[in-house]
Parts: sequence; C-alpha cells; structure tokens
Amino acid sequence: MNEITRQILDQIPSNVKFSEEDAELLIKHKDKLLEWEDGLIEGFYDSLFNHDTTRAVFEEGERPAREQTLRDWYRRTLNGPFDDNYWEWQTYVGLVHIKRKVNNAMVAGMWGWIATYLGRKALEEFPQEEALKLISAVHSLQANVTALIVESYLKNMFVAIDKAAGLSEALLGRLVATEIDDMLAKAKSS
Amino acid sequence: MTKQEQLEKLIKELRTNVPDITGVMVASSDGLSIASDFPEEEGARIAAVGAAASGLGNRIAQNAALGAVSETMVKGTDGLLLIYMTGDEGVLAIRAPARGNLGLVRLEASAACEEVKKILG
Ligand code: HEM
Repeated sequence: MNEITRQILDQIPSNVKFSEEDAELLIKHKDKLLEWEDGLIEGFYDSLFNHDTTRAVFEEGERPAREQTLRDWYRRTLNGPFDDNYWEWQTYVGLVHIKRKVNNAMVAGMWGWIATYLGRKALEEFPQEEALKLISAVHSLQANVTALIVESYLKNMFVAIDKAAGLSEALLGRLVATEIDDMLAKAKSS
Repeated sequence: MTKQEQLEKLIKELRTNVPDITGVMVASSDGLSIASDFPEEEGARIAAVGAAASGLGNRIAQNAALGAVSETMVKGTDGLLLIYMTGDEGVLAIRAPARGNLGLVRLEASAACEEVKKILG
C-alpha cells in the first residue's frame, strides 16, 4: 500500500475501520445492494444537480459520464476485493476532486446521503438485525473512503503548495501554529 | 559546547561586529526557531515566515531561471530582513535598519552562514 494511503488509514480507530467482516457482509449482500444501484445513482446526482454550488462543478452534458463513474465505483466496491489497489484508488479520487474543485464539504455531505439511502433500503428489505449489521458495514466503508478522499485532498494540496511555493507541510503547520491561538480567541469571542 | 550554545555565541558575535543589526535568527527549514535574539513573541513568527520566504525565494529562482539562491531580502521603509539558506536544513535571518551599512551586514552574514552550516551540519 502506498505511504499516503497507509498514513491516512492508520488514523482511524481499528474498531471503526472497515474490517474483513464488513467486506464479507457487503459481498454477501452484493446482489441486493446492486438492485439499489439505479436509485443510488439517480438520487446522488439529483441532489448535486438541484444545488447551485454542486451543479456548478459539472460541465454541460457531463451528467451521464459522471453517473457512469459512480456506477463503476459502486460495482467495483461491491465486487471487491478491498485490497491495496482499491484503497489507493480512493486516495487518488481526492486528487481528481482537487482538479475538478469538488471540495470536502461536498464529499462529506454526499456520503451522508449515500449512507442514509443504503440504510433506509436495508431496513426496508432485511430483518432488523441483518439490516443493522449492513448499516454498520456501510458506515465503516464510509469512514475509510471519506478519510482517504478528504485527507488526500488536503495532503495533496500541501504537496502542490510545496511544489509551487516551496512551503513544506511541516512549515505550513508551523505557520498555522503561529496564528491558531489568535484565531481561536477571535472565534470564541464572536 | 552544545550546538545551541555555539549558535548563541555566533549570534552575539554578529551583533558585536555589526551594531546596525537589530535581530538574528537561526531556524530550521520547516520554520522552528533554533537560536535567536529576537524578542520571544516575535521569534516564533519570524522563524516561520523567514523559512517560508526562503522556500518561496527558492521556487521563484527555479521558475525564473535565476540559478542558486544566495539571499532573499524583504525591504520595508523601516528596515530589512535578509534570509539565507544554511544548507538544506537551516535558515539564517538577519534584521537591519533600512539605511544601515548593508555591505558590512552582507559580508558578516555570509561568514555567519558558513559557520551556521558547520554547526548544524
Ligand atoms: C460522496 C462520495 C464520492 C465518491 C465515492 C466519488 C468517487 C469518484 C470516483 C471514483 C471518481 C473517478 C476517479 C478516477 O478517475 O478514477 C470521481 C471523479 C469525480 N467526481 Fe467524485 N465522488 C464522490 C463525490 C463527488 C461529489 C460530491 C462531486 C461533485 C460535487 C463529485 C464530482 C466528481 C467529478 C467532477 C469527478 C471527475 C471526473 C473526471 O474528470 O474524470 N464527486 N469521483
């Protein structure tokens, strides 16, 4: 596994991180989860296209191609395996998102939507206990994938700033440290 | 003598040799103050922005094909800050008045730079 992916996954407490059991559960219910695919893709992009700032990310006529991107991602996820390649790909998505100005608020918000959609479906179609297990597996997947996408977005920003302006991540951290107390005091008093 | 003590001695000597100088700082290239005679509240900020100016200066030199950077200077109406790389790991920043003897400051600064390199190296 590449360094940045490992570093990010290492930050997540192990009881929250996506596990072997989570992987087995998703793959066990793959057929059902794939039945929910059309609704997932449509609902996801309806949300993005019904909101000005997220709609502005896309070019004219781009929606079908992006729906296919999400479809491919969903299928690859449910087909497994959850190997180094898969997690490294999620790290790479953070970089693609920087290029397309998809910020972390958008990603975190839409992951909430994905988890709610799949959770609701699970409760409708499985006995409660199994549904809860599935919801928990989806939340763990969300933890890993969101962490990789949003943290690599941030880390890759630092790398780009270092390349462009010669300011290393450690130096940026130091610059932040010189200002953070004043910023906190201001935020507290306002 | 520890590295810290050697750097503090060097800073004192620099101040004695060039009375015009109003502050000297040795910082790591990631902006941590190592030795300095700037007032403490100023020190942490000057170390961080000094290292940042040095990093940015290097990138400007690369992009504008200026060759190896020997000095980065920020000049204001009340004074100037000269920043030097001391190897890969360190930065030397010197503050002097705008109308001081810049030639002498630079001469002593380049000698001090070599010293800092040796001490940190
Ligand atoms: C919520 C979770 C999200 C996931 C799991 C996800 C996943 C992906 C994946 C797998 C790619 C393709 C990367 C590759 O080239 O291999 C991608 C690209 C992209 N995503 Fe996302 N994404 C998410 C959120 C969003 C949001 C909220 C937006 C827009 C507001 C968005 C817009 C885009 C765009 C524009 C591309 C670039 C496609 C291209 O230019 O090739 N994504 N995303």
